[in-house]
Amino acid sequence: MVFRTPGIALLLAGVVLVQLPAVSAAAAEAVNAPGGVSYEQMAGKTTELAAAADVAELATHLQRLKTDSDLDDAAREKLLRLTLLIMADIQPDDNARNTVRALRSYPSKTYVWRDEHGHREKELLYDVAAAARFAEKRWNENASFRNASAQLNTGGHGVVTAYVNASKDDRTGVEKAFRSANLSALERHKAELITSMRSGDAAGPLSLIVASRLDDAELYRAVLENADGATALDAIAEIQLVAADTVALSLLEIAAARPDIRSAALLAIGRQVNRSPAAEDVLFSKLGHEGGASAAAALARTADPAVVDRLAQVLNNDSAEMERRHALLGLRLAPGERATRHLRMFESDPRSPQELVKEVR
Amino acid sequence: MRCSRLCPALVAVCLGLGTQSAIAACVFDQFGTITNPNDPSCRDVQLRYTRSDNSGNNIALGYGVPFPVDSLTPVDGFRSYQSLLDQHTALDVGNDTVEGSIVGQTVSGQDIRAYAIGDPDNRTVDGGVEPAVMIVGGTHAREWQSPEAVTEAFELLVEAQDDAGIGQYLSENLNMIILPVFNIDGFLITQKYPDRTTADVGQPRDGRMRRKNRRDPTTGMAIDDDIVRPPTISLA
Repeated sequence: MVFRTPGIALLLAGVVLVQLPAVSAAAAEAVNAPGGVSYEQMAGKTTELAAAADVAELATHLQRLKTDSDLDDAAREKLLRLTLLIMADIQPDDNARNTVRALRSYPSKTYVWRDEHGHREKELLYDVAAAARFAEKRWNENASFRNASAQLNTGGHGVVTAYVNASKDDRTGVEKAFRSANLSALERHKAELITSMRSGDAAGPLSLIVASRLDDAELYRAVLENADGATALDAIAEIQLVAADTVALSLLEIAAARPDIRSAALLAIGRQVNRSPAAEDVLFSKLGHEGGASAAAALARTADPAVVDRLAQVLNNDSAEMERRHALLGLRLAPGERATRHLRMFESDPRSPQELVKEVR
Repeated sequence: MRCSRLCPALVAVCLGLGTQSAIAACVFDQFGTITNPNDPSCRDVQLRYTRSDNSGNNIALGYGVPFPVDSLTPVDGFRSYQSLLDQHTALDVGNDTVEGSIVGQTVSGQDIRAYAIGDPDNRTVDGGVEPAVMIVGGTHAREWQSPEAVTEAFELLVEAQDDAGIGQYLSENLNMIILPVFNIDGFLITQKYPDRTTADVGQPRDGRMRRKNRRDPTTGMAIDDDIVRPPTISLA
């Protein structure tokens, strides 16, 4: 492990406070460290090879950087990382893949201190191993993107099946291909996606991309009913942005039937209230039931005086305690004097049950 | 300009990306504090978190950037402050054994709320005086998991109070005080800028990476929360 001195740090980087253990010969250090002559030569070579997209030479250059005795650790690690990040965007050959694979667990030695929570923590200055893994990940994504794009363009089938069984990196590449494919190509895969989702395959993220691009209610519905929680949650956000109001409301009602996204769906329905009167009725019908607290919060957020009055009516006249509690919650959460006034009146009414009055705070 | 308003470690990332021409922006002293915070080349740069785009002023995280989600119940992600507050109020209104109180205010005027859980007496079942415990969340603004975890504890304690087991034992023999979000002002700033970060005088990060509240220690007043126009004083 190597820490570098402040003086050298400011000289080399202008910003980073780093520390050398024992500065032997400052001049020699400066030559080999980032900013020094050897460093500049090697960095220039990386830039030159990157501009030419010469992956074979970049791999050779990477090997040289690993062993060049003119470079100190910090300079070597900076150059290795820089070169790896550049290589991530160039299609590799076998030699490049092998060279980068050998760096997956490269032990970087240069650390910096970071002030955190009142104490100092050390962090790697240039994490070469992480950069190597990043390059491999990017290569996998890009290869998957090219394959999926080709299949989409030629009308080939199997891309959905391949997606549900693929690694995370490969799935990212396929998703990217679907985001940029033409709409007619996506239409061809709609039925396959719905079937795949209904049979329990993990096709949710891909289906959501297609649903969003085609603005397709049937596909949205399949996502809301079958996808994992995170994807279904993303679908709720998407539907509010792109779907027509009536379609959005019916889709959000479907989402509200699912416990893990019910609250998010009900709050989203609340945002439809001023565009769709039916949304208000949907929310009032939920008071006293599962998700009633979320429905109350959604109604409160409308800040609509008519909604506030209707909540007060439920509080004062309904017989079911839980429904009244939800109405009371809605009034407590609603902004403005109107809701407060209703609560004060309820509080001062001798007919109001004490167990509810004490919640009017 | 990519590196100008970063903590040293992040500046190091910038160095690795070969943008050295832009890094003379923010200079850190030996304590990690920025010494030229009002230099425009340091002050005016914002960095944006992304899933995989590392270009320009973007920082690729390698996973989706978490945005606050509107949901009273837990989701695969982090709830917005408003949703958390609504859920706390719902637990209060929906249960006779929960009593919410306003225990203070932030410098921007937000009510700080705490909730007592348990039976209304201060006696244990065998007549002793009930001890009390307090759970506080959301002290460091950027640590979104803390209000989530404390809210989850709140939900569990309420659900379990009639379980004829440990939940009921705690309800009958302990005063449990839950304060789910302590640093509301800071938390709201991090949720207002969920994918952006920058630096200020006393703390190298603001926006999503803000840790502190909004108190100006020299006046006791709230400071501006707009990271486009950062404060010129350090924060309490």
